[in-house]
Amino acid sequence: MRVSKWFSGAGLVVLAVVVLFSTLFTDWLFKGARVDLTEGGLYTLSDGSKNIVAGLERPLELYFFFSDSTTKEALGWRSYAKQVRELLEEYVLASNGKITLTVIDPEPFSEDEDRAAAFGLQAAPIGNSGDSVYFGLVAQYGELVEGATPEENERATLQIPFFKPDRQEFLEYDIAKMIYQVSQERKPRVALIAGLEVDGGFNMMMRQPTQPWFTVAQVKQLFDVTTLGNDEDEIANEDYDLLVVIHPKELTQQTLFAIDQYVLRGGHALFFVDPYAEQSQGAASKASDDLNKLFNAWGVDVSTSEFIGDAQLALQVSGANGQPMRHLGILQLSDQNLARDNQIVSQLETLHLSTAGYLKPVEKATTEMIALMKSTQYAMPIVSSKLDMMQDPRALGVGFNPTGEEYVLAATVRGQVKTAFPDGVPVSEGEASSEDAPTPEATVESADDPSAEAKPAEYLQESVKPINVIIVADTDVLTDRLWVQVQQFFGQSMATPFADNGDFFFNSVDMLSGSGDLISIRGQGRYFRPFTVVKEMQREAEARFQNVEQDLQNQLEQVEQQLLQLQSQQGEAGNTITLTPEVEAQLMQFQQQKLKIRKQLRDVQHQLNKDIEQLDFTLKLINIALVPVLLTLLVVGVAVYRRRKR
Amino acid sequence: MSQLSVVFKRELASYFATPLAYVFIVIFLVLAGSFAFFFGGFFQNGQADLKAFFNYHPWLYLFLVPALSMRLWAEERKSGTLELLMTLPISLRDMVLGKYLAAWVFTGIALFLTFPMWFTVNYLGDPDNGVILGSYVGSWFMAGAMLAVGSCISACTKNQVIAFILTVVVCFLMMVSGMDIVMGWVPGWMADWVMESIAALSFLTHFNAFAKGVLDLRDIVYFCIMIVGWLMATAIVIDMKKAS
Repeated sequence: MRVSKWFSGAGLVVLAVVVLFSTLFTDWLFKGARVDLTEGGLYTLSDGSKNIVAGLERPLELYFFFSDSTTKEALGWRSYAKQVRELLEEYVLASNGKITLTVIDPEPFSEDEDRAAAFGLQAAPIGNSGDSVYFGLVAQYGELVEGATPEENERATLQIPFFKPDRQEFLEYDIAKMIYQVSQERKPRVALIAGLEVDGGFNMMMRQPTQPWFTVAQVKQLFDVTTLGNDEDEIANEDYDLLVVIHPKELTQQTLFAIDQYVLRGGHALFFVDPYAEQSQGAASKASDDLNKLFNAWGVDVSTSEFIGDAQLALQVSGANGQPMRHLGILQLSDQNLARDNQIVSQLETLHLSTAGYLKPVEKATTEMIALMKSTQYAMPIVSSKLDMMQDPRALGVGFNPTGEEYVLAATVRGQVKTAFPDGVPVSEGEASSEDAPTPEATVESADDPSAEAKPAEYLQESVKPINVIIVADTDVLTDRLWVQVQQFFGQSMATPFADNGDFFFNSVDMLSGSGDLISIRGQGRYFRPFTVVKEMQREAEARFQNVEQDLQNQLEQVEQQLLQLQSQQGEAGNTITLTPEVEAQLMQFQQQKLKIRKQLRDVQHQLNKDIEQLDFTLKLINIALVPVLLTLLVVGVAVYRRRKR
Repeated sequence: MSQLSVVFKRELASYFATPLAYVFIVIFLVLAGSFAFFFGGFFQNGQADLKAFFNYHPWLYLFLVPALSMRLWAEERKSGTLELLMTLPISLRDMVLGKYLAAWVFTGIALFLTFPMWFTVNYLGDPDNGVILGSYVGSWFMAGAMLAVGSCISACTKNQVIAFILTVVVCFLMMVSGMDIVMGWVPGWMADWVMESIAALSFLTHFNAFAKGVLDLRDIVYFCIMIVGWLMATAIVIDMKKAS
């Protein structure tokens, strides 16, 4: 009898309340109990994060600001905020008490709101109501001393001003980076020599300033970057942990010597050179041969007049009329082309390179050249002057004949080397002009350097320890257009990457200048999982039709030429109104030929997509109809069987 | 053999004894495939994942699951077999659970038969199969929760059409609770926890959590609570009707 009491209207109400409450309670009762099925363990604290947290020497305070009260209706934002909070709690757990977390709801017109603003967090209008919402994180590193003045208690502070929705995949990395950054007592120091406008410049054509390269801007956040001129006399190892050289033009002999000595003294260096840097025009786009003097001394030769075209890696770009076509010089590298055992590239998914050169070891090299990126065997070097007047990327396909060799596009070079300047210090141009006959192109810029004369006795003939440099035969890899879209979001530039170029640059700088923990976190998210089968089909179809298409194109041009000639002859004769029957017949014939060729061309283009459309159709058929049809057969079969049995 | 498994087997067999199973499965498969390819642009996207496929599951279930669940009790009640069932030596719990499990397993079979999608995406590229597995589990749980809702509503009425429509409406509300469409109606003076719990009821948020590839205990427990709660309500309703 007691049981039946529950079986009543009151029982239903009680049940509803119990269900409501238990859904609420489970939300905080079972926190953190989950199985992460994703490939990279996207939602689990990675070892890199744990290492960074373990490396904390002093207490770290995290303030998580989220406008809880003003986002009641914005469910999407609330669940994102919950994810952030839980991840932060994981950090707290992993830190053994080093990290403390304070969650703050900055209600409008409250002291907390002022605090959020003072920390530099940004409020964004969200949802229909348009209320300003704070959703950011502040980290403060170091202990607070009781009774000390505010100045003495000045602690390293960093913030994530706003958690943007499309960074959700990189949440852990962003937080780890902030923790790492704020806890760095001293940032690694990087010297930068750049011949391109990496910090932004001015576009003469568009008449507007250009943005700094995102790769470089990103590195500047975490490293202490000093930009050096191209006339350095000395690069001191004590001042810099790493030297980055990006496509320098006209390096003076002094600078080359300085780089040589820097590397011989054991300084790490990272070089980007390019047979054809698309970012600069004219002569400046060509690589300077000067660096090869150094590279040759280090046992490597970098092509300066040829770039690698690769039929397998060619990326699809949109042509002049907007139709898609593959550009042999723009390469999309993935797993197979990257050294899987190298920490810099092992985590990367996709890299985009444009008109990259190639590296090869010189004879009797004393160093080891370890490839980081390679082309496929469907590649061949193409003379870079072909690019100068190129209108249509398909022109690169003419005469393209893969050599069957895999070309090295980037490599680490290690080993003992001798100086590239066995004859001693080159005399600076300023001094040369004062002593010898003045050369017309000599500019007086680095004269009056008293140390130059004292140096010969000091310079190194060979490396004091094995050198460690990375040479990448492409500079375009660093430019935004190949890997990232930068947009303005509430006054902040927001980056949406579509390739890992940024990570590659960052990893290289990070590795060569010391720390490597961030690398393991980066590149966990895989945002690019293409249909490999479809891509392969595209490539094959294009290879098949490219020659046919080229032939037809040539024919068409010929016919058009003949047509034009005929018309101009007609014009010269001053006989524009009446045509002789022969000429008329010829004209007609040409025109018909032209139409025919054009139709053939259209057919060829149509053929290109035919296989893929066929695949699309087949898959639709399999997925929509196959099982239902099989089931129907089964049902009919069973029915017939039963009837017979009867 | 326990009473539960007897009910379960009888019920599951009954699906296949009539064309119901065939019609339901065929419609489900055709729609799921068509939505993924035509609306979701599965092939055009060129991405090796099944997002385009799973995104439409909640909306497919919204109409197909009530069609399945409407007959659970309403049919028995109309044809008068419910009284007959009640006289059998089977406990109410076993009856409710057995019928429900049969329906749930049945949707599982339908879901399983979408395996060509999985083969397709693995043939075309290199998808994250963990995410796909999570999505399948989440999809099945969501179907289960909707079935439980339908079971309770079916028990309330003799009329299958009414059961169908009411189930669609309730499932729809459960799905979108937490979104503006529902939250806009909740008066602002309501206590925070009321708002929180209404938002926490949403099928969609929990399904989306699965679809990310994470099996969170909270999401699993949520669906279990939903299923158990609605099934208990079913039992209560049947008992009340019996008494009257």
